Amino acid sequence: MEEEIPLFDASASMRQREIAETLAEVYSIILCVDQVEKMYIKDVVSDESEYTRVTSRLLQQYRAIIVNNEHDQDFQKAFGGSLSEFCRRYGVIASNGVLRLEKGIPLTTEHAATGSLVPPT
Amino acid sequence: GEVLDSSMLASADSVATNQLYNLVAKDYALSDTMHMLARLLTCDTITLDIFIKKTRQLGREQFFTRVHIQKVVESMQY
Amino acid sequence: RKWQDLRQRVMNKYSDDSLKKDLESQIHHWDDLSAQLEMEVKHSDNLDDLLKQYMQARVEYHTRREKLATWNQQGKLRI
Repeated sequence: MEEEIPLFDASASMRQREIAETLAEVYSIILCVDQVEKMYIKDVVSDESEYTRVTSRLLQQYRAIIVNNEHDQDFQKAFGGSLSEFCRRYGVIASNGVLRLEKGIPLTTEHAATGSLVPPT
Repeated sequence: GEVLDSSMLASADSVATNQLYNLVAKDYALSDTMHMLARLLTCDTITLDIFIKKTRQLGREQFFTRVHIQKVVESMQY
Repeated sequence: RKWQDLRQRVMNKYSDDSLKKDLESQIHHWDDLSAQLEMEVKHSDNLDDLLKQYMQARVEYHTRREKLATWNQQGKLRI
């Protein structure tokens, strides 16, 4: 009797499941950052402080995951070593989100920091 | 030796195929639901915080669905 | 004998066509239902429940779409 393939084999260790849970967080953070970024650019999210608050929190959560697992070989192997490799592996198309996560700061702070909105004199 | 039963082979094929159908449909459905949430946010039906909370939930589920799809596809290659 | 073959082929074709039509109408049904559920969210206070129903409707919709696509592609139905 042929059975369905389970998500995790019975032999899957707690460690493997834990890594999958963490990667699921990474995945959902990328999608969220991407959406919020697009909504801000489209002016759907028009409150700057709300955009900054939400994006900062997501960036912080992402950074915490990456830092906490920096030296974890198993995690790095499953993650793929980089954000772009992770996206390739799991079919994530979210260029706005990836860009934001790579820069590590919200769009609002980025412009304040570099003053790129102000033309050079 | 064993006698190969073609009906068993067919059903083995259909179990994996069926599972794949369902998982792929779920993957699409999760994307649709997340898009729907984005439309709800756009027309102010839900708040940004609710949008984030639900998108995170669906996103996690989509990740596991994709891992599962990869696993079923791998098993079909043997 | 010839007539019987022809008849069988016509019958198969007929049942294939009617199955396909049935599948197509189910696809429309689930798509319409999703649109309806989305409208309902705006007047509902139970978002979780509606999201669950919406998700289910999209699963039903896509499962049938995939089957129809495979059918059209391979010329046979695989359920």
